[in-house]
Amino acid sequence: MGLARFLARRVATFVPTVIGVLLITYIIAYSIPGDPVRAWVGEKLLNPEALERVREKYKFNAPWYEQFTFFVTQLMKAELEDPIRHRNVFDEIFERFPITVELAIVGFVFLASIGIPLGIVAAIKKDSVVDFFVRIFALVGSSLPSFVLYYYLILILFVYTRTTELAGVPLPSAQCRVMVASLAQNYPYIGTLASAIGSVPMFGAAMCGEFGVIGETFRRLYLPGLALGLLNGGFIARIVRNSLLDALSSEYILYAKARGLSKLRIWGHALKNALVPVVTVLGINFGGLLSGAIIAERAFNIPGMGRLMYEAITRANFPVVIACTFLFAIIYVTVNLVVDMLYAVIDPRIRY
Amino acid sequence: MTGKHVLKVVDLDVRFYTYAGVVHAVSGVSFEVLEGEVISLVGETGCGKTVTTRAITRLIESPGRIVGGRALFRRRSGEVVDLLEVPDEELRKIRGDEIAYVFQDPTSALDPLYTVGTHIVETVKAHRRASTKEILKQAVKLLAETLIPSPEVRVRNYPHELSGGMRQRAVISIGLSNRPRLLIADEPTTNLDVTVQAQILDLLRDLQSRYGMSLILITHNLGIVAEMAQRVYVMYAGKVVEEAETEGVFYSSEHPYTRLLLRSVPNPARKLEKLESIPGVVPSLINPPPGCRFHPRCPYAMDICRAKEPPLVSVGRNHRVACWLVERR
Amino acid sequence: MNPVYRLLSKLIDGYVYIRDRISPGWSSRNSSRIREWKLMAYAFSRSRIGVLGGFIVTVVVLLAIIGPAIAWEPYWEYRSVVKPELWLHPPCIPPDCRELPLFGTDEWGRDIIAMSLYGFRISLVISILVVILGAPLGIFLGLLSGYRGGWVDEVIMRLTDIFIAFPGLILAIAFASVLPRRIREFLEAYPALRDSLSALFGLRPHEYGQLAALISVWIAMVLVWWPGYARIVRGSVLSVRELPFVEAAKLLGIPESKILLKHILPNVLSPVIVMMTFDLATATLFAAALSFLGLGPQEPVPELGFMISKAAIYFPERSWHVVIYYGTLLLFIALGWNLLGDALRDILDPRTRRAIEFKGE
Repeated sequence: MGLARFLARRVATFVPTVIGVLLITYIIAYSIPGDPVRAWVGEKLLNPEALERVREKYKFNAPWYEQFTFFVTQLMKAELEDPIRHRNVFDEIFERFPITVELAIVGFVFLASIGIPLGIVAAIKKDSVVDFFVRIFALVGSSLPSFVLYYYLILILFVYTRTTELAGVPLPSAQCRVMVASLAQNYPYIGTLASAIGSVPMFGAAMCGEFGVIGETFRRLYLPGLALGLLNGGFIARIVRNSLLDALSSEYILYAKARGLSKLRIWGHALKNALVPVVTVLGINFGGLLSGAIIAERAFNIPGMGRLMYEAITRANFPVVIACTFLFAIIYVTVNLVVDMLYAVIDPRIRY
Repeated sequence: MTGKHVLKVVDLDVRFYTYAGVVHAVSGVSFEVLEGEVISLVGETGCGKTVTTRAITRLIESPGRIVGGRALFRRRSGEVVDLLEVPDEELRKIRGDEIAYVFQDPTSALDPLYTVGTHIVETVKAHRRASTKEILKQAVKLLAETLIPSPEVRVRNYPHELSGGMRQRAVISIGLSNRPRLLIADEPTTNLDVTVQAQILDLLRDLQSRYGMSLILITHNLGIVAEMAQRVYVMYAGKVVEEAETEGVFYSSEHPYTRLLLRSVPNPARKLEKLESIPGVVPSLINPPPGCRFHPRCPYAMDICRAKEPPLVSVGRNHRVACWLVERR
Repeated sequence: MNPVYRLLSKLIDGYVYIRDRISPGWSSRNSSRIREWKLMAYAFSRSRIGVLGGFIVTVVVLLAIIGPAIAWEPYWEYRSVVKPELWLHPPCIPPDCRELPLFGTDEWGRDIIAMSLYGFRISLVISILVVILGAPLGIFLGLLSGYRGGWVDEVIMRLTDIFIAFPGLILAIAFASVLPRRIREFLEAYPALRDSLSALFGLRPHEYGQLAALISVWIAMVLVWWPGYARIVRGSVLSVRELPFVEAAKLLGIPESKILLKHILPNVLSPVIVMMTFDLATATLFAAALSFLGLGPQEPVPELGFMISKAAIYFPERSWHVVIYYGTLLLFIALGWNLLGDALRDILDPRTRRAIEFKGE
């Protein structure tokens, strides 16, 4: 039956999930009691006509299905407007979203490069000092509040580095950005997808081969990235360790030895099997990285989507909160879709 | 070790060091296999048959350890080596090529993420140079030999896409892929229909005569033993209690355990009043009791049986028994 | 026989005694279960991490219970208005500062140790409330979904998927930002409820605004928490449902609810208990994170995460002591639950438990 049909089916469940996400976001948004409009307009300008106009605009007076359709179409057409700053919400978001995503990605790179090798070593040297260390590492990582670690790190490392340029995002060259944007026009579907991916500066730069940009990004975001990686690294290491040990002690590995396969091939078997649960966990963990990015932005003063959301909360700027929630959810659902696809490529049993 | 031997195991001792204590899984087991011969290891679950055969090629993992013994093997080149002493790389070359295994549970033996074809390809490539294409063609033929229908399709299937019986046949094919000198088959036909079972046994016999392959057949099915084996080793609680040519075991067995075992197989030709069984339970092998390990269940147990272990003594041509009853005579 | 085992054994004996008084003969009917409990207690007492975790948790719980009562400073007094030198005063060692608090003060001039006594109560209560509500909700939906199948299953699964589609913190942020007003209205309508909740959290009675924020954090977290349990329980139910003994029970005419409760649930319970323990750690940190982001109670309530966020402005020069102190406290609370969870997981898994038991014998 195979891979293609499974992938097609998996993509098909994407749509209802997105609709569900929209529904929940809407319910959150419109279960606002009282009058948010007052908060937006500011207590000073209590001109009733102005209030009425704003209410009309956001359809607060209409029945709920009209509100919902209005809301969805606005989101879909990316026309939702920020009532306080009078700009298109999505313009604001797209200014900030690349840095949040890049932060999560840098965090992920640290996470994987700390966690996976550590886990492999802990499995090989079972019950050794390394193994014990990994247990402690995982334990402390999941017991430490993230923001506390950030401050600890700032305390330790800022003694050496007085300031880190955290504002501003390294971008690829102008011609690169134009090229990436044009992909959407020149190629159907794949082009739009590639263009969307390329809008994240790191990926766009990678597409053009401008790897210096990637290096710059890491240099700017290494501190929060490292923190994110340290927090979950231990947990990932333990998963990798347990999964690898399970694989190594299974019958098929013994059978592989009985057939005289080389050590390399045997490790290949073990790693591939161990990979399966690890990939799943990494996908789930990405959500934690996104959440962690929000907290990190507050602690490190990074002007990303998290900061935007935080400010919007304090000012009851619900359209922005809703749009941000929605976008985060979409990113997460997409990442999990990719993970599931990867999973199906590795494990043939899943394809049903 | 004569020119006719392909494998000679002497005084094999395997112990498992567990939380509960030291399990003496195999104690002083010796057996031999001649060129082109089929021998059978028979016994109840837990008597040590599987551990013995795995120990030969050092496939015992912690907490198990091979504590003593020798496993002399004559290679294709004619050279005789002690498998328990050879360096790892040489052992690797022998495994899968000169000595092949058919594991008892094919579902857990096959890696679920790899196709049957890949299993065969990697087994062959580990030992000689050949292109994947050639090997796959050969693999289809191998699968056909073991009577798997539509082998050209099956070779690209994953283990979960095959039925239990097909998996078992696939594992047999994998074992035969390098035309080994010695095939160690652990319950190779348990999951198969009787008809398929018969065909597989015919196949093994055919291969055996065609290529001079020796076969160690582990089973608890005495019917298969009668059909296939030339010599039989009866094991109990980690020791060999009787060894003889097949006829000798069936018609003139001496050890009480062997006799009770034979009696417990119902004869379809005769009317049965009651199914016979051997009373009692297999003993724990942690600090085994002194004396003969069978004495708690033996209807003829004497004082000496409780005190000292009986040695293997010869009672006829190619027939040895470990029992004080025989020693007395 | 080590002291921990003796204590646990006495507790078990006490429980058995009470059950015996209620229904005589109970102890003889359940003697094997009682032995199993004692074995588990023994295994627990032999596990160093378990004992350490248990100790930390006991200390935290005790401090949480008596904290607000023994706190020597009320949290609502803005001291540094009267005595400016108390503003963010760093820790000091006697004999230099005789009247000043040992670990220092916060922006309001309050002794941070005293404030942490309130903080323990808030963190503990909210984490327990979240798990106590979220877990059973998820378990119930998971049981229903797994056992019934059909459209019930589909609906519940879709719902679970949608909730899981949101990264936890983000969903909680969204909910926690819109709920406070509604909850405040609700609380004003039921003053008795409001007062008892305030007492539960260790707050003074008229702290409704902040109480509303706390409750909304609680509800937001419950909404984020239940899907995890629902999924796990459903998975377990699906695998147990097909087992022959369930079919046998159905054939015998045993009603569904009884099958669920007496046969399926116990099989599912062990991993759930472990998960709940770990979740107490996670919930503590999660609630602190939400407060850190400004969604929980505001001044003057001394919620641990919130205090850190306020102090962050002056970090690191002036407020390092506040951040480090409260941060380490949060670390300890979570560590205690995590250690306990680790030990429980080892004990409830029969394979690892045997290993511990044998080593003991």
